[in-house]
Amino acid sequence: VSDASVALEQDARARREALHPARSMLLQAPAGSGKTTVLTARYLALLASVDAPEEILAMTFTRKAAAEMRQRVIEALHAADSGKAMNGHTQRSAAGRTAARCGARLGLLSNPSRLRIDTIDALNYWLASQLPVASRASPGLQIAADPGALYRRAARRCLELAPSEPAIAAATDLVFTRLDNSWSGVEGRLAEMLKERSHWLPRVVGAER
Amino acid sequence: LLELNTELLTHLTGGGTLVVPNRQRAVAVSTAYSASMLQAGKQVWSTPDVLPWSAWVERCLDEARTQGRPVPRRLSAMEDWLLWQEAVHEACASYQVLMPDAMIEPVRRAVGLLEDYGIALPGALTPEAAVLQSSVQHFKRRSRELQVLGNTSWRDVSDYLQPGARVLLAGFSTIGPARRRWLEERGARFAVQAGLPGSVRVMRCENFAQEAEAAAQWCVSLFERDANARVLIVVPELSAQRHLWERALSQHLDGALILAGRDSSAQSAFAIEGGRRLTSYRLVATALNVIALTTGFARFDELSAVLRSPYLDAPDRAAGALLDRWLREHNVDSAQPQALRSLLELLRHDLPASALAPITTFIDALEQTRASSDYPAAWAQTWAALLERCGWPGGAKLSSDEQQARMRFDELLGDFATVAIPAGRLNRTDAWQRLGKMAQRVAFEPASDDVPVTVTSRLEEPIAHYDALWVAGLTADVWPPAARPDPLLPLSLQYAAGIAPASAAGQLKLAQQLQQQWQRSAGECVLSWSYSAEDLPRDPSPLLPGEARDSAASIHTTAAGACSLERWVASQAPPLESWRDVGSPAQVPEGVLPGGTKLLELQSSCAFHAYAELRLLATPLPRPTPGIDARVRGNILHEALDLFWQPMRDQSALRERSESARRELIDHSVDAAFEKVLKNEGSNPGQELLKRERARARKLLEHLIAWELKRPDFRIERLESTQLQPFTGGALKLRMDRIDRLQDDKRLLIIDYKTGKAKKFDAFAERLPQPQLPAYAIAIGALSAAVATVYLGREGIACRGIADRSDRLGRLPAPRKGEPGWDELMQRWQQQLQGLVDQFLHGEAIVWPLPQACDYCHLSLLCRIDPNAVESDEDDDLDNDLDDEIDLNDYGLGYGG
Repeated sequence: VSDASVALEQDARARREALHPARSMLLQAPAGSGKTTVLTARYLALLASVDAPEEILAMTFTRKAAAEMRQRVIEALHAADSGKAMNGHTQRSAAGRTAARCGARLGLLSNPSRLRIDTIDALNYWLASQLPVASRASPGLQIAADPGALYRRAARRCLELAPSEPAIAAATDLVFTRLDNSWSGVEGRLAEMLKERSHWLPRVVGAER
Repeated sequence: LLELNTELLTHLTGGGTLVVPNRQRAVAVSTAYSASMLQAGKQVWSTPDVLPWSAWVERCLDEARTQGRPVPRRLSAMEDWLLWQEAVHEACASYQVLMPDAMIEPVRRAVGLLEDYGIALPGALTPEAAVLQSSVQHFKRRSRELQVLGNTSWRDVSDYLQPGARVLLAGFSTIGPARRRWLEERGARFAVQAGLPGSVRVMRCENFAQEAEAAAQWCVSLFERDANARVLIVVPELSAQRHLWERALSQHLDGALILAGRDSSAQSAFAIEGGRRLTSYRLVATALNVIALTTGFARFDELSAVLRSPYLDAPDRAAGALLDRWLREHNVDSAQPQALRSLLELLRHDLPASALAPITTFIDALEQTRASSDYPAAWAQTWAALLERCGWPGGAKLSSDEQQARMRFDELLGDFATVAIPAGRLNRTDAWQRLGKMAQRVAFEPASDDVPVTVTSRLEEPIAHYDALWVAGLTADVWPPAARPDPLLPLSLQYAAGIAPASAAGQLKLAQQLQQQWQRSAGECVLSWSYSAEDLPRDPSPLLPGEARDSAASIHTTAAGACSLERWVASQAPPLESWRDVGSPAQVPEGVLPGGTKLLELQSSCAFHAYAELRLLATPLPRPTPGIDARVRGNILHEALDLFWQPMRDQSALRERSESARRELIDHSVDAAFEKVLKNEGSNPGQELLKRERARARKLLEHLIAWELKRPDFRIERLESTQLQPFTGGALKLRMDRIDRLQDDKRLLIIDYKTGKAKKFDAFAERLPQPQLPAYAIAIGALSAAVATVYLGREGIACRGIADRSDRLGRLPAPRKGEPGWDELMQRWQQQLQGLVDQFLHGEAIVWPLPQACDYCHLSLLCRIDPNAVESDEDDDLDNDLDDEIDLNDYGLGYGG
């Protein structure tokens, strides 16, 4: 048995295991190796075990990736519905084919908007809009596609208020001095820091506590 | 033509009342009725009794009053909203909800669902339901106290409604079962949509813009066949795509109108239902911004919008534009009336008297609005008087739309004054904010005649029958829509009550039902979708019929009579000529060339940049920012250096002074420079910034003096000298910061001051990124021994340039072995600079930027180059991001000519 065939067998086994609905899975593989295909197949496999497709949630980092995955799932459902062969690994998965039929049973073909395949931003937005009081977000909030201008506005507001805020007046004075007393320099750096706040804010808040 | 089905026509002809969901549908039905009468050969007929639901309720209340029944006053729509605002704010207070105003509409919608579906809230409540319940309780209590009827709840007014057999309701297919039952039990009937479905086509488009374009072309082809056709276009995401549809429809349907130079929507071939926010009309925005200027909360943007508005007499547009430019150039970002008043003295020197008079009137008007706290009616009067003093809405004749917008704004002020929700005395800010919120709620649609094409975002039964109907945006992700449970009602209650939008199955059913209604509402129905909208791949809705799918390219219009702008241009068959757009006609110089060394710098970094700025005068309009303007900072340092060197002109004099004496002279020079420069400036950056700026200036001078003390002996020959440098074809005016005579061989060193991070200077570059120093060197001629930019930084002094010998100035390099010698370099520079001047004079305007030349260029819209596509210079490790690099000459008298 050649090394290649052993590797191929291991690969196929890993792909099969990744579809097991009862197991949690961390899938790590190089770009182009078929992670999204496996995720799509797993999504289809999970359809067999739910009463409503909304019970399954798939999240991606970008809207484009979400849209592509949604397309693949719909293609697979159509293929299963029409008895045509499916692509790649989805085709090789019997569970995938069964699940695709389940998808058809759940009405996904006539109502694909039931698929919960989204970015994490979109999921959070949906949760906040469904729980406007508990989330304290109110329904009027919208995701800003380009928050840069908002960061600048917040930074400017902060600097304008700083001289009359004893808690930050001295620190602001020091920052200005270090940055050549340049308003645009300080404002720009503050805005940049707001953009990257996930890196430093927890440490600052933690240190204060 | 619009048509009505037999049931509706018979009912109206028989004198019955037809109730429809909204005003837009009522207008459509009335128009269809008129068309039917005309087709029947009638010249005169009774007005059909078609009413939107709200108007029908109002009429029932009037009838009850006529019958002598005591009927409480019904709140106006605005009053109702304000009372809900009060209720919702109180209900949300304990939950710290961000933007409670955004909860008002959801609460009102949920109230409608509770009543329409006969739902009672349970005892144990989610926070959302608790807010809803608390809001409802508050609203009801306050309604009782005020003895008024709400505008949201039909239950509140149900005692006075008289449905009866003469009332037919149409377009209420999604009404809740409780309301339907209540109405039917009292004799009202619901119309049944009859008729056969028309033909259906499915149109596949590339994106939203192509959908709009295809629909517009389709309209043209329809009108070629039938000039009287009436078309309905349904665009679910109309608010986001409005601009696309306006552009496509106006270009294809209003071409003749555009060419005639008229833009009144009353004459347009299409109308967009629902209108726009009243605040989006510039005439109204001007009025609101003028009022905002009296509150102290307005920013420069609002002031600038007012100054550039055509809807004021004081200041008129010309005076306003002059003031706007002056404020920008002087970095005045304050919009306070008293700050503007304090500038009048400076303005007297810079602006003509004809502009000062209306500006003064404007400032007077703002300052006369003195009340700090008053009742709404008094505020409305105050604001009306303010606008009158400013000459709003201007002397020019208003178009029909503008006139209607003006009247609607006057109504709004009236509503504000007479609103019955007690607000008590309001301070200036609260009153303004309340007016602003009220204005934002008003969707204003100028009245228009019967138009051939109606565009709507409403996903509802059209009621009237159109010749053709187009529904756009039917992709799989939006049609059928995802389940949208009401966020305030418990989900289980919504499922139990059968609220359709709460579940996917309900949404699917509603979508199928509406699609059938669309198909029955027109002889021809087009359903379109985009496969790559917003750069995302999309699928067609599964509800679209599989057959009859078509691509947008299949829409052709052929008739010559259609009024498409594009077609009109083509029909004129203008002769085509080729034009090489890398250059423009040569310029005949008249004396001194514009821009000084800036001409050389821009021409070298990107010929188009020089052409745009110096020949087209496409200079950016400055935008005031907080802090001290870079120009002012440059001028202060410039002035301070000048004052410092005036009393002593050589290094020995500098050395003779004690350190404390030098420091004293620095302090004195900086203080005097601040006083002199700021005296003529309008901006007030604040004491803290100025204090730091003084300290910074002292520090920079101290660094410089320390550096000067370590230099070989020198004598300052000239400070701030100006010189005309002749080139073939024209002369450039150069201004050199400083020229030193070096004491060893009496040759000259030219110094240019800058602040910020030092940039490397490449004396031998094919395209000189900094031709300033070479220009100075050849201006001085054979006596020049070195040119240098001295960077004044917080950490010390950096020097970049080149010298004939490496011992001239610190580590300033000299030409190395293999490189052209100093004299040869001077000749080379002379040729390079002459080449730049020649290019400029010959109109060379090619877009060919040096790396990083596009980073801060304002001309990208004009040159249409993608800066990201320009190769970056990865070897350049200098980063000037966020640092003000100030060429002291840029802001002084440099770039003369």
